[in-house]
Amino acid sequence: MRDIRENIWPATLTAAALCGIGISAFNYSAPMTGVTGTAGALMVVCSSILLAGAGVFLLFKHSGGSATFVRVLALLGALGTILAAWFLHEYWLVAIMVAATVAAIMSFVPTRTAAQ
Amino acid sequence: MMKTLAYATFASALTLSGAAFAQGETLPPATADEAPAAPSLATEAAPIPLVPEGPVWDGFHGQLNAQKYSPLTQINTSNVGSLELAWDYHTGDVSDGSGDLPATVWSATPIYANETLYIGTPFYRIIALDPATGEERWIFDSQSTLEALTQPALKNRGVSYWEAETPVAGEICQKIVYLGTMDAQLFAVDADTGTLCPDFADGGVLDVNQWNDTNDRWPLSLLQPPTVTGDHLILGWAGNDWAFAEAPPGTVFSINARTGEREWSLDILPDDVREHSGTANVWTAMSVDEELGLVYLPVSSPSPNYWGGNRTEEIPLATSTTAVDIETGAVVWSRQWVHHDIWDYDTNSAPTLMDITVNGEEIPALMQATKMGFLFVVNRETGEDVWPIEERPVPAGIIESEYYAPTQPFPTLPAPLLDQAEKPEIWWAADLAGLGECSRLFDDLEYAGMYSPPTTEGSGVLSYPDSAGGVQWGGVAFDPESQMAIVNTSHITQYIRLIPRDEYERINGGSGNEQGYYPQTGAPYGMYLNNAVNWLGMPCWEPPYGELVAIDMRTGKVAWRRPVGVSQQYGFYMPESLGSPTIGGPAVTAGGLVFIGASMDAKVRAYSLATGEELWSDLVEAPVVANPAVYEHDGTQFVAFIAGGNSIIKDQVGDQVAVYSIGD
Repeated sequence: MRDIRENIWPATLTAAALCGIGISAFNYSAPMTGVTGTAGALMVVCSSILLAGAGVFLLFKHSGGSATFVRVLALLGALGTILAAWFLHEYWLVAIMVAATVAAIMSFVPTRTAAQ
Repeated sequence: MMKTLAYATFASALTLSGAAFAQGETLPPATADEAPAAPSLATEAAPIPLVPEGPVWDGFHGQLNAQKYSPLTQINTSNVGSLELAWDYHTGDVSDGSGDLPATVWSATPIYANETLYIGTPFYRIIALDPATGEERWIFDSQSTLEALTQPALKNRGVSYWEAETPVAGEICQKIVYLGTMDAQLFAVDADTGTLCPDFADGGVLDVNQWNDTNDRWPLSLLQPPTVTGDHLILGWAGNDWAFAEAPPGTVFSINARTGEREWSLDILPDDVREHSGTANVWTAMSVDEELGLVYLPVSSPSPNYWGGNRTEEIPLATSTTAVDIETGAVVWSRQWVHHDIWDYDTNSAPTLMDITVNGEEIPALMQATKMGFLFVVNRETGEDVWPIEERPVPAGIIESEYYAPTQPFPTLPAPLLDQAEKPEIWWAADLAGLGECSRLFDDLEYAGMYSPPTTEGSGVLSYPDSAGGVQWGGVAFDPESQMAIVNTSHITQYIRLIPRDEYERINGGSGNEQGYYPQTGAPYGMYLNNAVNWLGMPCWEPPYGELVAIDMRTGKVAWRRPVGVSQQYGFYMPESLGSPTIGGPAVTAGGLVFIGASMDAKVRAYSLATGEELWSDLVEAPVVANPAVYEHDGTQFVAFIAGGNSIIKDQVGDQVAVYSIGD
């Protein structure tokens, strides 16, 4: 039960990042998205992949300095991707990255035991 | 001093009536090849209205008056929000330059004629489409060489259309579509079948390069389709800017639409200048008043573009609007917009002909938009000012071999589209991102107003408006009902440095479209030209970068202006308030709408003609870098855009014809 609670936010982060990969990759590769083949669109594909990597890492590493470091990176990455997606007019990516940001923030919150 | 007096005298002489002007010693008379002493159109036909009575879009600017106006109202301000893509068509004639072919630049407007939509492509094909469905009717392939002979890219600005006054049923080529190529061939093709017209020139092909007889360093590229009036094709051509001091001198030809025979030619440069200079050609569209029997030529600048020490003589028709008798090629009047042009401020769009009411007086007017961002308004019968155009002093430069015109013409109304009097302010965001790079660059650039001469000192001279111009070939649209003129403008800052020949030979590298090193071979100076941007490509100057402007032509005052489009870099869109540089132009309709593409973000938009409010937009394949076409077919109104792109504005190419109508 504790594992599930500990993993829910990393799992959410991972899922959001995977969705982000799909959305951003589509916008990069499909014709007439407005950002087809652009460096900016490729950048958010890469940032989404890195976020997914961070989410997977946090699924297996819940505590310690490295986990905290990755959480910080994930939060910054999600916020940066929101900003980039906003200027790319990739509004679905913005929405999904908001979810990723929430998940990254919540992953900082320590998991409490149910019974005191 | 002699020059000062000469230019002032010439400026006054411009208002003289046509006959006297055409006989002036300094003006080149047209060369009549076949003694066509026919009476002018104005004397042989019933009055021809300036604005066609029905919807016409059979030329590059819609109508010969270049108003880009449609009286159609099916699409209007109340329903334009539901405008939908009716059909689109991809020509396949596109290249991004990464393969064997040069990149394409497709600045065409589709034309609607003979109940068909005709397009020309940058691979020099003509495609005839069903206007309602986009279904192919026929395709003509000129098999033209796909080499960038005079331009950095394969370019095309469409086709033109002629039909006999009384077409004979069953006879071929009673209706003809014309396509020019970069290697100076003009093709005449039957509009119904797409087959070559055997009676036109040499089996349907006219080799215009046969008349390239002075400084023939490159072919007379036929990128702009001919202007068709009566049975005449009025033909200019494009060349290779910034390359040579001595280049083919500008000429305009009248060609018989049926036979391809040359009727007259007009030499823009005086005889004593032709050999040691060149160009001052007409590379963009023209406009025509068939009632007056006049074709209006927007004439470009002489060679080389940024140094004029080889052409210190008067060249009265250079960088001008020149009114020419359609039948004879005689110059009737001319207004020079830049004296001794050393800024490449070609007159780059067809003047828009308009009947306006100023202070209660009906005036047959002409508005000439310019690269300088000036809108000159004159009486199109005489060339006289509608609102005063003043000769004002401008700065001289330091190049000893150069001549500097002491004054230049400045219109008093309408106000300039850009503030060229002051050095543009530095955009703080770009300066911050560049750690002061923009400030350092601007400190090293001279600028004492738009006519600051090119220099060898520092990083050069700041060029504002830039070489592409404050207004480009899309020109001005005009609604004859409200007398509102609509024009899109770009605010771009570049810098130019003249480089002494020996130094140039040591340092010059490759060059691109509108940026880089250019030799001006034969001149004592090569040149370097670049956009004033920081290392990230952010513009160093303050936004907006492009605007749409409405001018009430009854007063000459701006009715509204607003940023147009959205700038885009690396895919990132900038805020709408910054606007976008624009290439291409608007169309206006009696439905109260302005349609325009023209912006970097590859969107097409509709604005309210009355207020400038954006009412509709859609994304197309690439920036639309010409005017839209508005036509009616089988009772349905359509708006057609060609999304072809132009590397001047953005490295994005397309081959899409996108046609919109109101959905069911």
